[in-house]
Amino acid sequence: MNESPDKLLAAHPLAACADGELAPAAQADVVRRLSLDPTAARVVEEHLRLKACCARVLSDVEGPSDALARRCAAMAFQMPAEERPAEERPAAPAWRSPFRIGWPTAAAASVAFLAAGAMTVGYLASRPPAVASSARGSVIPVHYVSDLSRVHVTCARHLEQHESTDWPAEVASLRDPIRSYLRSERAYPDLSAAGYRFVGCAACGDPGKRGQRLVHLVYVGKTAADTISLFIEPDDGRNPDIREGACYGCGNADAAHPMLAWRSGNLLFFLVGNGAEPVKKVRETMGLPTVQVVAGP
Amino acid sequence: MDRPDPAEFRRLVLAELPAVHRLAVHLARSRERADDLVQETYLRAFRSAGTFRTTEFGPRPWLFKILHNAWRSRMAQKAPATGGEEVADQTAAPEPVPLDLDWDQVDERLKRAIEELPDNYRDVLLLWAVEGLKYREIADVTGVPIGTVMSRLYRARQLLMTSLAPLAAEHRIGADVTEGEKQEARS
Repeated sequence: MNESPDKLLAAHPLAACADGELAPAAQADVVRRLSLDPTAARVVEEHLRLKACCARVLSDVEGPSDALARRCAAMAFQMPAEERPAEERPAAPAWRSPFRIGWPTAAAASVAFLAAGAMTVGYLASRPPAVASSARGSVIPVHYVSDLSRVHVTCARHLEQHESTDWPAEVASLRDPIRSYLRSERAYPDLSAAGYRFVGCAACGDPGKRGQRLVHLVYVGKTAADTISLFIEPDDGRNPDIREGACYGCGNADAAHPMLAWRSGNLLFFLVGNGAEPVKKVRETMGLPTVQVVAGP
Repeated sequence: MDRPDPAEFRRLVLAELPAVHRLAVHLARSRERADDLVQETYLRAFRSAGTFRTTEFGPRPWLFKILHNAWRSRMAQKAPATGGEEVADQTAAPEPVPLDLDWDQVDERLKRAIEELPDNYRDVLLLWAVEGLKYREIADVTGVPIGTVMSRLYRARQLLMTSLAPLAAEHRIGADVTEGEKQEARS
């Protein structure tokens, strides 16, 4: 049963007075009454004391950790491009990405352009069944979304630093190094089939300190603004909710950097792009299942 | 109402992290789950930056609302809602009588009593006592009518005072004994 607010305020004027919720005239009436009625004054005082005590005992909470504060601050990258401060929009690189391990710059000529559909590294043959699945925020851990989106944004702004000499520059030659690094024989997709050019690959320096090996492949479309990141990591059992045969999405229709996640055996894949349309196109090309995207607030 | 510039928006929402985190800890009752909830809140907040408008209360109620939505989504996954909440008519209830508590001695008992409150009541109590929100703001954050907020708050206070009542009795006995001892000493 929901009584009307006015009726409730009138029924409990002392509590409402203590809470400062009465209209000025009603408040003045109650204050007059308090000066004549010591019992009523004690009730109001008790309301105030109770509130102060509740505040005291409930405020006794250890503050957020520095790591949490850093992760939340980093999520500013999730703001839609037009909402971000000008200095955070894609611009000429001024610093080196902190997430790279051994990424000496290399000549742009070393970047391999692979013909669309030429190399799939056996992935398409083992792609997940095309079944629809829904995704909830808890399926993809929130810190994955923030950490990987941050790496994607940072790396997308410094594409020239992804032309590594540490890792093979051609996606076709990556197969053995990646399998060796991830200790998995599972196949992984090549986004060249979706019309994207492979820019480079690197082992990421564990963004978010999850204690994971993580390979980051960067692709670029027709313009430098259309960048796709494919992250691959072995699952150590911490993500049982990411099921085989399903594709999970995070980011609503107008999210700046939507993310997809799926599993192939013991490998987890996370794909991040600059906008819903490119991500959808890649997903369809790879034959991944339909995604029900997690809605915004 | 204005939209702050992006840098200002980021500064404003990040300044609320301690408050958002505190509320998340109370809602989730676990630091680990609270951390995840806070991150989800900020992720949603930044993605919805365009919907924020500066108000006299700043971004805190807006962030709390996002936090509550995220929390409700999680709870709905675990245990779907089974129906509306029935709150007894409190317009006929009399104003409480003062208990004459020793308010310096109630913390532990009060903490336990708050822990035992139903989630709906505790939720409203947190926003009211710790965050100092007005009834209307609490209604907006929790997504329930303002009358329900007032009913829950009334009921929460009633339950807490009932839990503290034995302390008042002990306090009175203690005071009587002390007075008796004084008289005995005087004689």
